[in-house]
This record gives sequence, structure tokens and C-alpha cells, in this order.
Amino acid sequence: MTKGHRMVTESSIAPRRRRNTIEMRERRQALGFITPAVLGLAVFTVLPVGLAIVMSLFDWPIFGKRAFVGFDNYVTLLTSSPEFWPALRNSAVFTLLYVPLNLVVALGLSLLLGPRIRGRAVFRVLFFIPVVTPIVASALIWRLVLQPDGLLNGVTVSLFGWELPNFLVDQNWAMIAVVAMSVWAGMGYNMLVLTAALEQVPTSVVEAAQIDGARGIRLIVQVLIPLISPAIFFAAVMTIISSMQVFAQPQLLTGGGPGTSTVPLVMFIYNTGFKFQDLGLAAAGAWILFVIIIGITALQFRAQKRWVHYEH
Amino acid sequence: MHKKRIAFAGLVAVAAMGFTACASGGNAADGGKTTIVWNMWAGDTASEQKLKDQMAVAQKLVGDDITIELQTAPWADYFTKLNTNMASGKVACVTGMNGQRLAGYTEVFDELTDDDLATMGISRDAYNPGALSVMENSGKLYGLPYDTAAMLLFYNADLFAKAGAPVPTNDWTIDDFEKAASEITAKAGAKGFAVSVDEFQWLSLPMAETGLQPVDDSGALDLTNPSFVEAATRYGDLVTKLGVSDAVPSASDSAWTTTQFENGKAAMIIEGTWMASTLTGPDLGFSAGAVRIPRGGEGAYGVALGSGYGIAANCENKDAALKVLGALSSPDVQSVIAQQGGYPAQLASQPEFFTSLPDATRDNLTQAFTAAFEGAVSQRVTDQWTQVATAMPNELVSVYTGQATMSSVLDGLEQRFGK
Repeated sequence: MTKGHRMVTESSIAPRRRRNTIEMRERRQALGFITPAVLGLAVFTVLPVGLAIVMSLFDWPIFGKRAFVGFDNYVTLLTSSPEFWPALRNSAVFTLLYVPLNLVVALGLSLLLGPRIRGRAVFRVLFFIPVVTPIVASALIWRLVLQPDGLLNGVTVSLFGWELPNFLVDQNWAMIAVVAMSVWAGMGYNMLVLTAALEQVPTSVVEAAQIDGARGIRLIVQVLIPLISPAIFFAAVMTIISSMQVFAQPQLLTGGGPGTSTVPLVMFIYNTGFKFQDLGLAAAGAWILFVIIIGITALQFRAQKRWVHYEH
Repeated sequence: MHKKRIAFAGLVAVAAMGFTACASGGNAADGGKTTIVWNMWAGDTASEQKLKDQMAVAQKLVGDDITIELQTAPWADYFTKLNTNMASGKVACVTGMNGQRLAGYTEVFDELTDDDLATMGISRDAYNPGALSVMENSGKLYGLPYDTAAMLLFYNADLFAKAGAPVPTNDWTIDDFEKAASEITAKAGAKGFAVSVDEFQWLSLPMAETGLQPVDDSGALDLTNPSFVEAATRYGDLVTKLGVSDAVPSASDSAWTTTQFENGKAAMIIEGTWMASTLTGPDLGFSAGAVRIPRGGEGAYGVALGSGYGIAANCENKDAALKVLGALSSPDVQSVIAQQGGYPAQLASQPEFFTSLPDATRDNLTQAFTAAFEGAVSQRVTDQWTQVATAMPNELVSVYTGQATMSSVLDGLEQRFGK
């Protein structure tokens, strides 16, 4: 090996070492930046979640002695709790009504507020306001609108002489009232997501479809919806998760009544844990809810292959 | 390996810091001074100010070595907050408790012994016989009541005059009440009554009619006693058959009943004595008064309610807490409560409540209070009462809309919570 050859070899190794050193330093810096977040996640998320699993296996009163009961809490919920199944049914009914309505309304709004509408930014802000309005304020306003001496009944009685049902205490209407208020409060978020997706659709593709004769509903169903299907998928997944966790709207509008007709699973968990002092049973309920949400989300990810189109 | 160990130690240290921060109790000692946290419900600024005024007097009594720190939550959230505090072992040293809820919280409190009462300078003789029972469970005393309460029938005298109906008296029967409610509904442009979904606000009338409580002498839930069911059905009929009241518009709207009265939309409501100043006050815009709950076939029947303060079992400085509780239960603070419109628990301070009433309502309220507490018996609750009270509003709204019968609702509650 000549001297010159050795120098060439050393000079090619040196930058590689430097690169490795830089990479190492960057890794350390990245680790430094991410550590607070990971610690926060560990202390405030992973640890409580782990504790909730342990808690669900115990008879865990809010005060006093705890006793290991294995899966008894789960068995109690699934076989002998008079309120668990109605609560699960209510969450399912809410989700089945709320998610499609939310997506249809949000998609409709985002299509209506297309590029040809003047001042569409103002409309978007207006429709987004309910999302950022505290849910307590929204629910109180809706309660005033929906109650018998409220705005809605006042208008129909004075204009048409129609007496409307007592929405918030009627077995048939209470859940519909909760869904209607929830759609109003939540449509703005998905509208924004779908609007962003629609604006990414290439104009050339839409024009080509129009030249081929696609118009109106056909253009929307056969061209636009497939093109924004990833955004619809994202919105559907997130909306189903949030609707399975609904709590504030029924709590504030109907208090879960009449009877137990608007008590969703999260309200059942809240009542069991923080009103009736049985944290073990509440934790078991929370884990059943978790499994249901994970299961539904997994199914959605499986099903997406059939209808979600990604550009590759 | 060494780095891993250091990282692990760091993680443990940070976690430990977090837990240490969470574990600090409701009282602390600093340089010989002790802070005792006093936890109580207050729904608005005015209620909180009343507590602060009481605290200022108590603070003078306990001296500078102890600082009283007031923490409040609205009534609707108070027990949720208390449950959360219990779960984390941080119950405030002096904690407010409602007599109807005590059964579910006896583990939270230290039993108050006669020695404790002596330390506080409080005598059992300062109270009416049986008055301390609102803070007792299974013969043990868990706190001292700051007030004594009963339910009253409040009325809007202007609406009675408009309908040409005689105003209620302390001798009224339930038949008199129904007749007047119907007359007002027909003639005064307002409903005669506003029903309620809150426990004693609606239970009072069926209890008065039958002389029965929803809990029997043995302490068991007794909602399905046929006489009680019949009387409760009569109460629901005020909406569905007589039409003298509107239906409550939502199970979550517990303030509806008082709002109806205050807005002049209902001529009568049943509320606690703790609302006497508000519901007969000059701000209403109409002339109002109160009488005892109308009599049923069994004669006059009323239940004594009340709230008080106990000392948390986890309190680290019980001596200081006893001093604070003694001060908050002292005649000086009872006097402040009386002047604020509360009916004090101690006998000696009760006359002051009447003298501090406005001239316009003094005679009326004095007679109503005297009648309401005459022969009032102690309220009884079960260990499951919180669940019963939580479920009641959701079930009752169905009765008021005619979608369920009172009988089926009471039977359902008994099935769910009567075991």
C-alpha cells in the first residue's frame, strides 16, 4: 500500500466520522427535546392508564379498604348492572345518529362554501364558532331554545299554532335533541378538515370530469368524494371516537333523562366513580369503552382499503 | 448500562417529585402557624361572601397561630369534588356535610366525642333535643350542624289577590292547597304551583299527606308503601291531571322551580327554610310569604333537615381543626349566620334570626318557622340515598309528561336501590 493510497483512504473515513458525530449529537439533542413530553406522557397518561387496569380488578371504594376481585367488576357490568347495557345502547344510538349526520352536514357546508362563494372565510369562521364556544354555554342556550316556553315552541305556536313536544323530557325526542345540539356544536371542525381537502383537489381533474359530463351530484359522488376520501376517513375515525365519549351534551341538556334514555357510557362511568364512589367498577367500564373504541377504529382501518383512495 | 441507570434514576426522581406535589395535605404548618382548610359549598359570589364573613369572625376567635383557608364548590359539584378529594386522600380538615348525604361519607369524618365537644367549648344543650341528629349516623356524631332547616310552602301574595283567593295559612290542608292552585291557574294568568324534581322539595307533600318517609323506621328504602305511592301519585297529578303546574323542562334544570316562582310564573313552590330570605325578599317585585307544608289526613308532618361541619379523618392537626370547628360553631358565628338569613342550629341564636328579618316579612316568617319546626321529626336516609337522589330527577320528568306512572317510577327506584 503506497503512502498516497493511505491518505486517500483516511480522508474518506474522516467525513464519515464527522457525520456520525453530528448524528450522535443531533440524536442526543432530539432526546433532550422529547424527554419532557415523554415524561409527561408517562406520568400523566401511561401511569394512570396502567393504574386504571389495576383499579378495574379491585373492589376500590373512593375511601376505605380495597380488595382484589379479579374480573368480578367486568362480570358485574356485563351481567347484573341495570344501567350498563342501557348506557352502552345510548352511546351506540348517539354514534349511529350523530356521525353520519355530522359528516353529511360538514361535507355539505364545505361544498357550499366553495371557491365561488364571496366572503367564504367569514362563513367558515361563523360555522366554526360553535366548536370553540364552551359546551356549557352552548348547552344552556339550546336548553332555553328547546324547552316548552323557549324560542322554538314560541315561534311555532305564534306562527302556526303548533305545540311542539317537550323535547328534553320526551322519551322519543330527548336523544334527538342531544344529537341535534351535538351536530350544531361539532360540524365546524369536520367542515374545516373537508374544506382543506377539497381545496387540494386539482382543478384540472374537476374540469376534465366536467368536460366528460360529470355535473352536480354525480361530480360530488363519483369524483370529489373519492378524491377527498382520506380526509373523510380521518374525520369519520375521529368523530366516532369522540361520539363514543360523549358526556357534556346529555349531562347539561337532559341530565341523562328521561329515565336513563340519554345516559351515555361516559356518564355512567362518571356517576359510578365520582357520584356512587365505586372506582373499580368505573375503571372496568372505562376499559370496556376503550376496547370498543379500539375495536371500531381497527375495523375502520381494515375497511378503508375498500373505499379510501390515496395518491401514490 | 451506567447511562441507563442514570436515566432511570432521573425518571424516578421526576415521578417522585410529581407524587410529592400531589400528596400535600389540606393543612400545613409553617413557622408555628397552621393552616386549616375549610371546604364548603357556595354557588355564587354572594354565598361565598357570607362564608367569608363567618370565617372572619371565626378567625378572630382562633387567633393568629391558625389560619383558616376557605375552599368552595357549587352545591351541584361539591360532592363530586369531595369524592375526588377522598380518592386522593386530601379531604379538607374542616369539611361541610349535608345531613341527607352523611350516610355515604361517615368514613371521611372523625367521630366527635364528648371530650372533643369540651375542647371546642360546645355543649349539647346548646341545641334543640334531636338537632344534632342531622350529623349523626348509627348513634355516632360526625359533625356539628350550623343550621337547622325544614321545608316551607312559599307563595306569591299578589297572584292570590289577583285570583281572589285567600292566602295560605299555617293550618292549610292539602285540599286547601289544591283548591287555591286551581283557582290561581284559572284566574291569575299564572300556574298555581311549580313541581320539583329535587328530593325534599317534592317529597315533602307526599310525606305530609301520609306521615311517612321514603325510608322506614328500620332504615330501609320504603318508596313502594301503597299509601306513599298514592300520595306521590297525587303530587304528579298536579301536572298531569289538575294542570296547576307545568312539567319540569329538563332533568338537569334543578333551578327551574325557584325560577318559575321568582319570575311570577308560579304562585307557590316548596323550598327549604334556607331560601326564606331570597324567596320573600324585596327584590322579587311582588309580595311573598311562607307557611308550613299543608297538612294531610294524618295531621301536620314535617322533617328537620340540616347541614354541618365535620373533621376529616385524615386531618393531620386535629387539635387545630377542633379549634376552627369550635369557632365556626360558636355563638358569634351562629349570630352572623342568623343575620345573613340562615336559621342557626343553636337555640340561643335562633331568636336573632327573627329579629334580623325585614319588618315586612318578620311576622309571617316567624310564624311559618315556628309552625314548621313544631314536632318536626328527623329525616331518615339509606346508605344508597345519594344514588336515589341522583336518579330521581330523571325518573320524575317522565311522570310529569305522563310517559310513566309515579307507581312504576317509585317501584323502579326501589328495585334499583332498595337492596
